[in-house]
Amino acid sequence: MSIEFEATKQPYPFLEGGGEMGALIREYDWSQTAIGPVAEWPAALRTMVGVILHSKFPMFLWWGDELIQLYNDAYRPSLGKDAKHPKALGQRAEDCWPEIWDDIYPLINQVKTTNQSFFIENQLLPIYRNGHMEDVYWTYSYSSVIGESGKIEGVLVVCNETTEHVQAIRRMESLKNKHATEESNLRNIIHQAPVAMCIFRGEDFEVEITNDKMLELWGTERDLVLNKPIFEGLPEARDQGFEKILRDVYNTGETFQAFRQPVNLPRPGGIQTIFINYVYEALKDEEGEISGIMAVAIDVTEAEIARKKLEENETLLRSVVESAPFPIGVYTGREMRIKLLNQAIIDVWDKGSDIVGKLYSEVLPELENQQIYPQLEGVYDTGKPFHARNQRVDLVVDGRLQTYYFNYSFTPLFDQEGNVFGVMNTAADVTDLNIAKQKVEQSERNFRNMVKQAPVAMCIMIGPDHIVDVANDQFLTIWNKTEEEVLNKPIFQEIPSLHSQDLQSLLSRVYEQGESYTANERPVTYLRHGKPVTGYQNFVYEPYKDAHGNVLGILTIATDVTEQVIARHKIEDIVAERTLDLQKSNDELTQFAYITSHDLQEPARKIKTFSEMLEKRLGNEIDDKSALYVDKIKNSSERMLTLIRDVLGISQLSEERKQFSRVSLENILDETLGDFELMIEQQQVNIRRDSLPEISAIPIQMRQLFGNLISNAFKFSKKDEALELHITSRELEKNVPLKTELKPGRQYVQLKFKDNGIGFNQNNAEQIFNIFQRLHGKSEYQGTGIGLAMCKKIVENHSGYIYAESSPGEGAAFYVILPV
Amino acid sequence: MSDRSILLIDDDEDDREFFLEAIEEYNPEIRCIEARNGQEGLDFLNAEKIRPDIIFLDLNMPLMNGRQFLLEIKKIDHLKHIPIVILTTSSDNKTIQDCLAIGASYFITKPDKFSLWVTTISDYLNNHSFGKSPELK
Repeated sequence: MSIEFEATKQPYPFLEGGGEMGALIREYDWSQTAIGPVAEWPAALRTMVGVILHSKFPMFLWWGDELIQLYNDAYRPSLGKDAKHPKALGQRAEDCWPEIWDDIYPLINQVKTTNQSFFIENQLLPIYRNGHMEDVYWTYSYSSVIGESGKIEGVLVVCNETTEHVQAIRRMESLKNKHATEESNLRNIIHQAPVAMCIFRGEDFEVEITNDKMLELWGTERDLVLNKPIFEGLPEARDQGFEKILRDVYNTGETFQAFRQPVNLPRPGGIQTIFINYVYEALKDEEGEISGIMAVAIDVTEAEIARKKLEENETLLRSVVESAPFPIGVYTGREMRIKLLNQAIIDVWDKGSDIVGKLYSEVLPELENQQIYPQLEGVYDTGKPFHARNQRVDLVVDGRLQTYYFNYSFTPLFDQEGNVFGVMNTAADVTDLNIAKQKVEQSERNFRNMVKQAPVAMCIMIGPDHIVDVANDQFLTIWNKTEEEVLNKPIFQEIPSLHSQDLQSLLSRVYEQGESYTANERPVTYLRHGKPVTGYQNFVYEPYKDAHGNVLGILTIATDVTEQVIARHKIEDIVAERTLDLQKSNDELTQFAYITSHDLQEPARKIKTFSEMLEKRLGNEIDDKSALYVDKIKNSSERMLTLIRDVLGISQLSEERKQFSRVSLENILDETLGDFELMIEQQQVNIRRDSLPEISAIPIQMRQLFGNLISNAFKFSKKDEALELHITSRELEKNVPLKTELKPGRQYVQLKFKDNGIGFNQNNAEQIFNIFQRLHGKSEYQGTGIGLAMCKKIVENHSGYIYAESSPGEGAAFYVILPV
Repeated sequence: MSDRSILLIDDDEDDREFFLEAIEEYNPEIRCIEARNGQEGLDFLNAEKIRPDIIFLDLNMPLMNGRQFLLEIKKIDHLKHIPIVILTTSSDNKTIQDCLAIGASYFITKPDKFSLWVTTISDYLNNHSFGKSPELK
């Protein structure tokens, strides 16, 4: 409360001014008190009041025997608010101070009676003020006021409330104590701190105190750094910017902190970069002067490395995700906020690239009612991944809703506490595959239809147990089963009679090796009416593969050829029988030829001998006619004998087949020409010959061959011209086209017997090699018609070939081709 | 009278005729005994105790053929040294070699001509001390 005072004209000048208390004193009705109205106040009182009112020092006066109270403005706050002021004015001391009366009355009385003043400093005098008891400290003096009578009329209290001062001192002391404790605590804290701590003292940053952790961090020993300037004790820390920072903190008192600061510090094995979080805090002394710096540091190297790795991983992950060729998206929160997308998923969605940070449902509203939101939420809520295959998803692409097929996964993402914080979405667009698959399925259906409708028996058996997947009616007929009996069942279980026929191992081999197997006219036995019936089948086991070439099963195509095989077997039996018969009759014929010719030659020989004997016996007694007849008999028998012997010779050729040896054709030719020596001389035959090779042959037959050919040349030489015989030889080149009778790749020699005889028509070139074939009359040219047939037989015995070239009158050339 | 004798074993009457004629021409003194097969030849040799100086032997014969005869006679000690000339129609080298292997002395293929009969047999007999020497007559 403030009261405005007007400077009014005061009848008592000592009462002028004095602020609030001046006014209150002026207004106060002093007549009601023991000191009486102002007019009656003694001069001492008046003087004292004037002094009090005008003093800026708190003053208080007890006057008279009743110790009536007066005080000034400076004192007033000591009385508090709404408590003793303003009642205290004019009040009796005893009434005013009941709570301390026992303390102060003796003092007052002592002053009044002994006139001794006293002075008390900072005394606690709790008083009631401001609505409660307060501990109030006072420094005060009690001094006597002596009136005109020389008597002590009052007691002046000059006081000063020192509550604040005392309290300040107390606080200071308490602080001092606290500081000491704190310092001790600080040392303990530092030593026991779980982090590196130290105190640098002074401008040189001497290490005053440090804990082991800090030493560990510095990579040094306590003795090396303690009580030394840090940059002397730890020179490795120099020039890394720490001196300036410490200096700044020291100068400004501003705390410095840094995080993940790299610092190179000694470690076993050399200087290493350590990452630290640290604080430099200025330390102030009692005067508030900065006297040092407290350093707190935490080695966060591992965390930093981990963090860097994490960052790298994250970068890697991000780059993996971003460069992945298949769509990947990461959504966080239950609301599925898009956190990370790669280009592939951006392309698939076709919603532009500026969609990271938006909600999934916001970007892909068309997925509403496609079950995808619940799937995502389910993954988020349950923490279990969701996988979908060939899932149809309709997306708005190019402004219209289009159908796609995806394989996709929603994988929950867990934080360190194991709580789901998001979902990773990976997907593969299998639309093309799916369409392809549908096509494959269609073609599979077509294929199965084809199997079902094929005009031959077809079936497909799947897996290692050969489970019947599809079989057409023809196959069911072969099996003698209904579709229900075999479908989706292992075939060998349903038709046990197939077991013992190696078919299972055949099938298994085809299944395991993936190579087809073809069987022709294989006997297969089935039970018909409980009895085994063997039929014949042509069948193919073809591995039935998927698109990747994996064998799924076996496609079997079978034709029952039982009737054909039986018919053919019958024919074969007949042919074999006939062949045997033929062989037999051929052998018999040969035998017959031998025997007949052998036996025939006997009578012929005898006719000849007897006719000679007859001729001899008759001697000159024979008449001309008889002599002619005997002569004819002789000639005929002679001729007959020749014929028979030639036939015998040819029949014997068959039996001499195997006596092959290396034969010098040169020698054979020499010997043969030797046989003809007389004729050659007589007829002045001109012979030119190559040297002939050595071959594998039957020697005697070579001699017969050459003999027959040379004899043939003699027989069909021109009557009026000397025979010229030219025998040449050449090797045929391998692999040139040969007569069909010859084997390709075999080495052959070709002999050529060329004469200048009468020759023959080329039309007869083959005919001449037939037995008893003659082109000329017997009388004209000699010969039985067996010689060339024999040559042919000999050449055939040697797997060779003989042919002739000629034209009438131009001579003939006989070519003999023989294997070497 | 010549003490020379020949045993001819041949089933063919005509050939025996040719042979006898040829011997007749060569030396009518030579005694010629005929047998129609191997068995007859053996029987004769056993019964008569005559030891011919030479045996002419055909191969193809009934009852006992020439080969069998040859094998048999070679088992009989007092007969096995008699020279045996094979006289047959065969000229097969295999047969010739076979006969020589089992003890035949010579091999003559029956000729086509009577003149050859005479010369062939003569040549053989001359070479084996059957010559027309005066002391033989």
